[in-house]
Amino acid sequence: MRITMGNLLISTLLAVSLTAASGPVVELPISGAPLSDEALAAIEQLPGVRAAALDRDVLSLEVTPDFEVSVSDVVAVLTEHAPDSRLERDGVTIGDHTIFQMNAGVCFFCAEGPLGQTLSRRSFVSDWSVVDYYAKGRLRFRINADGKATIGALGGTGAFEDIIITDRYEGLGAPNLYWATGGVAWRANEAIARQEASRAQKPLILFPTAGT
Amino acid sequence: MRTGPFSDPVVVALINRYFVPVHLNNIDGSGIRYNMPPGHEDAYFILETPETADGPEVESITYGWSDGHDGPVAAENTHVLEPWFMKQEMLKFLGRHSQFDHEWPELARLKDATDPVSRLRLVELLLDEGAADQALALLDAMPGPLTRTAQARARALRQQKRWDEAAAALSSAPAGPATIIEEARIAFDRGDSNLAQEMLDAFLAHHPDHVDAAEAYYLRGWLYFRAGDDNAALEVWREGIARHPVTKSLFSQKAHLTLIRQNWSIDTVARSNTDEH
Repeated sequence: MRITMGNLLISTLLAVSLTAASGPVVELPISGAPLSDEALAAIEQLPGVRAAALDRDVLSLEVTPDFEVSVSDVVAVLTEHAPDSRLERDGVTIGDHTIFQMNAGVCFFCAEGPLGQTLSRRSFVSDWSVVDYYAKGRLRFRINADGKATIGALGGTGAFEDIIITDRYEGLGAPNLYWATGGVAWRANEAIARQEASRAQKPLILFPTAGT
Repeated sequence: MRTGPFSDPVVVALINRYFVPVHLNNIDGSGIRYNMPPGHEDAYFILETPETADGPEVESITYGWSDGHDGPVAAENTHVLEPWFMKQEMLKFLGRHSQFDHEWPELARLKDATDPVSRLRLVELLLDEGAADQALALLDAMPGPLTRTAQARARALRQQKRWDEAAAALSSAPAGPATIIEEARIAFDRGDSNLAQEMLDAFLAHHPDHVDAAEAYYLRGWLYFRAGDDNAALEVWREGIARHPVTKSLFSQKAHLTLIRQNWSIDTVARSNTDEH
């Protein structure tokens, strides 16, 4: 275990800040050369990083509430300040605040099916949801894992453009992308719609949603 | 710039007033429904009479197939996703099943009203359904200064694509944001991008939180898109959505849908000048 005065100070600050606030904390396994104080300080300067500490070969990051830190940003700092160290992305434990970003290259509706099928084959994935999306195929999703699971266990993690640590989506449900279908007052499900149609004697208009 | 059947507020008004809309979940593996195996979406929309105890059999019409084709090819061939097609079929369906063609309650209530405010409200409700002929007949029968009815008249004439008359009608309207946005709509619809841009920029500079501002952002985004500035279009649409949440604004929903469609491929959103918004 390599403890320097700087690390000790940062560890203490991290411990204090953990008791004072509740930003998400992520542990990032580091392989190769140990991180220098300089590299650690550079990581702590990243926007959204509230505190950073090194314990053996695990880098602990606390993210400022409502901010986000991407794994690729941390990797970029390592490349510059600690080129002999490597962040083992696949060894990161999936937590409540681990957000996966991918560039599906197709629309959300086209990406959702295959993504869901892939995730359903992972026994530890109990649930998943898209939490945000952007233009041209980029989307973010999170999963709920049963027990401890690492990003590597998802397999093919190269498909993920980035991993984001943030509490920004906490408490938010998945965005309802069907809102977009233009102000139509969709009924919650087919049974409710059929009951209402029968009661009010209004015709139904049904739109298949196979997701193709 | 077609963005699907819901891109036309008239289609949305007709659905919400006279139908019970629902997504048919055909992905749960429960079996073939409406001739579609689970996971398939060969039909684009289905109109169906409600079940009635001891009543006639349910009549169901599926739109989406054409001879020898299904799916996207059928949609292309039959125009099944065009707003005008859906509007036409909904009205035909209601006409064939007059027992289900209940008049929208507020329309029915206002029908016999004679005061100018109620008559003007009736005109607006009719225009929501695209009934421009009826609306214009009512406007013609209304006494009083043109200024009061100018915006509604311009809207009706715009729906009939009588651009010059619509613009002329608007010249009697009082100055203000409602007149500016109507002028922008007319210019946009007739393809006068320069004037539309001028009006929309003026509107958004002074009234970004106006009730019609979400529509202004939506149209402004399309002008950028037509000009090939995709990034500016996305930025304007996002700003409109941020100011006017999709839960509250039809046009933010439309912008939201457009953003999703951008994901499909920029080229799938037609750049045609002839498509309707």
